[in-house]
Amino acid sequence: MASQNADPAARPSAARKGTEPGSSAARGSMAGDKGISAFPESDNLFRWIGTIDGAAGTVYEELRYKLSLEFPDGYPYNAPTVKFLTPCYHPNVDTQGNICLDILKDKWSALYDVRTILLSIQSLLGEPNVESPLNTHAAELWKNQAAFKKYLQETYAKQAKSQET
Amino acid sequence: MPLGIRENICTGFWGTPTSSKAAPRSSSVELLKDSDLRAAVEVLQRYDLHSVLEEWFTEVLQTDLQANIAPEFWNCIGQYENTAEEPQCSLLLLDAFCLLKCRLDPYLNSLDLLEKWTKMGLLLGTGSQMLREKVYTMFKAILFFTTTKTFQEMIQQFYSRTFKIYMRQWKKGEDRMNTCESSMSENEQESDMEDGGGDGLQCMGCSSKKEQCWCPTAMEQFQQLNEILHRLNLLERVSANAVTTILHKMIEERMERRCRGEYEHSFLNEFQEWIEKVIGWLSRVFLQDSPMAHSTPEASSTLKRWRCHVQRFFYRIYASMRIEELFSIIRDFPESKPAVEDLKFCLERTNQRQQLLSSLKSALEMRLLHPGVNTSDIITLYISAIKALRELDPSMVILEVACEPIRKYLRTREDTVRQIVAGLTGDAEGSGDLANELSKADPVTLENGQESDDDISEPEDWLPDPVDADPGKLSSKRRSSDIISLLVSIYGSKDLFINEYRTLLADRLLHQFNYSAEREIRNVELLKLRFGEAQMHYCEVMLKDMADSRRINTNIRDEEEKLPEEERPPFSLVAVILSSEFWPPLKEEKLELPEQIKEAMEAYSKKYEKLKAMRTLNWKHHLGLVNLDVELADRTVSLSVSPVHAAIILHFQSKSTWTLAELSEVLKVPVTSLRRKMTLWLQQGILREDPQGTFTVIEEEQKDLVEKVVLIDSDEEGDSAMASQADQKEEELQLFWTYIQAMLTNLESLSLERIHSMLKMFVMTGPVVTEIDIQELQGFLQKKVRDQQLIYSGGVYRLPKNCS
Amino acid sequence: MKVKIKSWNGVASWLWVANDENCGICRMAFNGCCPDCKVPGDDCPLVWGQCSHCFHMHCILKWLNSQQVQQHCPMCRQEWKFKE
Repeated sequence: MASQNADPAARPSAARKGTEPGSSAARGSMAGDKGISAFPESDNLFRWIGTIDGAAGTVYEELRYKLSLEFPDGYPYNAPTVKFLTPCYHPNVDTQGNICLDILKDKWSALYDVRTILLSIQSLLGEPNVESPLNTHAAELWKNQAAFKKYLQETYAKQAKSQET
Repeated sequence: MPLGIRENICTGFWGTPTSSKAAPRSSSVELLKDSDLRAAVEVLQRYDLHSVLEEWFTEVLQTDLQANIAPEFWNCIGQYENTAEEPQCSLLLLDAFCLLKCRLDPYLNSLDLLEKWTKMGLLLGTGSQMLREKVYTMFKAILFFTTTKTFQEMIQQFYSRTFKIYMRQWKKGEDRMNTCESSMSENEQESDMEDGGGDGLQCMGCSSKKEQCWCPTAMEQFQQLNEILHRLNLLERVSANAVTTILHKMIEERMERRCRGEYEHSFLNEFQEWIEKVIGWLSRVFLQDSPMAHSTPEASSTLKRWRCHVQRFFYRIYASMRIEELFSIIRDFPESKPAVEDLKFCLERTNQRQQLLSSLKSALEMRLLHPGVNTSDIITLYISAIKALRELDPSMVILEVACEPIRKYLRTREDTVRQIVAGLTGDAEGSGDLANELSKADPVTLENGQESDDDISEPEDWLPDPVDADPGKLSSKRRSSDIISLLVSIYGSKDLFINEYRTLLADRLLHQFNYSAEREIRNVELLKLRFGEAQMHYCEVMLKDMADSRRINTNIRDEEEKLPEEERPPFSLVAVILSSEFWPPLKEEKLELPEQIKEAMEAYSKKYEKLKAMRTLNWKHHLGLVNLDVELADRTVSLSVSPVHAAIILHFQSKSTWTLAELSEVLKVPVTSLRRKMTLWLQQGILREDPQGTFTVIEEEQKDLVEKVVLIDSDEEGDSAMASQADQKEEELQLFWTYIQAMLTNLESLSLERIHSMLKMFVMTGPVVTEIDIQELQGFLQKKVRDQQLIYSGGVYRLPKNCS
Repeated sequence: MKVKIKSWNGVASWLWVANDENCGICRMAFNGCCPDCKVPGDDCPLVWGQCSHCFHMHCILKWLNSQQVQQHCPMCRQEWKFKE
């Protein structure tokens, strides 16, 4: 804040750019965007933490995932870097949490904000693109939904347990 | 044998102890030569009995004191109880002490002798110094173990009188006056105040008729008594209390007379001089001046102690007086600056800051912070307090602590912000203070002005807080003494002020079409210096809108003038065109304007659209100002009215009688507010209401004027065009909760401070900002905890598990 | 009775004739200005694409400049062409 006072001219662009995704995320959840939420991680407006609940009716139902969103200086003209913080067993997510999603790459549009990004990832959970997997094991297992769900829940529980201790 | 010697020495020393006072006591001393006595002592020594001598001496003295000397002295004093005349009293007091001295002198002489022998080694001696002290202690203990009230009064009276005479003479000496002459005519101011007048026939020193003046006698007695007391080492015991009392009384009286209510000059030097005079008198008391005890170390240290005491006493009671008067002193600032400086000087030498704080706080509560005082007056006094207290205490701690009640109270007044803003922009009556402060060429504490809550302080600027600083306040928080910053921070931040300023500015621009563009621009420039460019950006756009509007109006008028006469609009329509995003939210009011007006507005919009591609206008029908002439059969009335008033009267052109319901229908204005609007036309005598709810044009003014009833709450012309702050706040509090939920969902748990700073960072940034201070937030969160929407443990808040 | 209006000082707000309230890119109101501007209106105009989507001129120009391959509308992904 202090620096903004020192340089008021710099303020509108920095503050608004950062604030806007935030308020849209907040307002979004208020408007009934079930299962997604986000907030800046600290006073750095360009780093956010997001939370996604698996959509009802998918194998991810009842599971909650944390993600990090890092916005570049060029936002919204350049896409943010989004990663899963909670390990996520999914055909398009690798073990490092990297996500393969077109709108975060070549299909990026300046119109996307935190809310739409999280909504896209939420729907990606239920509708993976098994053609170009990052996690081949998961892509393979996806065909057998029951087995996938069992495996998914086991790994999720293991991870949750290890986080608790 | 020893017995004979004892008798010998005894008579040799002090004659017969029981001898009458009239007897020349020295005669017996002469009977015995010093050498005889010495011979006797040597005899004692030979028999190893010399050690008893001192013991025996004190025993004799004690017996004599108890049995004879003390009763005799007190009898003497007691005799004079009925003496009414002061000069007699003094004389008798002196006589009693003279007698006492006579009785004790032989013992003192003997004491000298004993000391001499001890020094010569004739006596073993317990140490001469100890013996002397023992003797003095016996004087005090036996003679003055208790004193009578009469005696104390006599002493008191005696010293008071001589003090008065002394001060009188000193002054006369100053005035180079003849001692016998009255100084009434001279140095009038001083003596008037000093003596409270007089008939000129009385001596100012001894209060007797001039021809009976006994000043010189009194001073002589004064000298003698002091010498006696000094000789008997009784000065402290007998006089100290009286002297202290007199000094205190004199200082207090003088201060009451000269300083109370008088703040415009300093009294320190004057009192310092006066105290020096008093010290002169004291030095007489303690024989500093007398040849008998010229400048012994004890005497000078005694005097030093007294000087110190008098000064300290003066500082203390002067500070007390000024503390008691501080409210008035603040009120009178800056005229009262000398009093503030005096107080500052004294405070540095006494321990009265706590007294000051509690006294000032209660004075503020009593005299200022109650419903009977206007907000603007409270603000005016607060400004004075800031100015006065920053003089008084550059650490600003007094300011901060003592004025907290004012700030707290101002927070409860609804019009505080408005009053301060009005003051800043010079709109408030009679208070140019703030406007001046704002236009100071050099805004002293600009950086403070910028910071209301979060401070960045330079480590090298750090100074420890005085002990009375409020430990609740962060010591790192830089205390500001800048008036505007302090006022602005009453509510915790500048944003509220900027918003209020913007609302006031909007009101001025939209209500009073005769605003001074130049002044508004200047104000905005000055506020920019204070609050930063970004904060004032919206106001700048508003002012730019006004200028742009003028240009567009001119442009459109020029176009119209090119048209042939018959195509020109029937009246001139000019518009203020707002950039709505930059103005405060405008109150929406429904008003259906007459067709001719709407047509004119549409035509204007068309022309605007031609000027500005892809843009159009959204008219605020209820806002604006209409200049019109109402032409009636026998008169024409010219008025400037609001659009709704104009719309009402325009309808009466087509039909001279309307009911309220009919008008409400065509204007789309609710009946209740329409009724209020009718008042203007009734007051102007243009419409009459008869029967109730039916209005008719008065074409001809009746000879017997219908009573122009000045009706109910007259028009709310002064109403703001802006939506109320309270409505906006309600909405924003809900928004805060949404943000807090989002924060806690993603960041798990946060402390109160962290939530507050996050809200500040991400939520309180827009153009219309609701401030929430940390206490308010805590209350809000605690309510959520009670409602089980939040969990508070270990100093952090989190969402309940099931709340996801 | 006759009422003669000498002058009518009205109040209006201007607005862009657009099918949305906010610029999709910067999220600021069209009737406000883009984050890089301070004054709305003439100084921070709107532009329309042939796809009929509109943006703050400054915003869409930045977007187009950031597109290396093909310049398309951020809204509908059609090729961006300014509406005449």
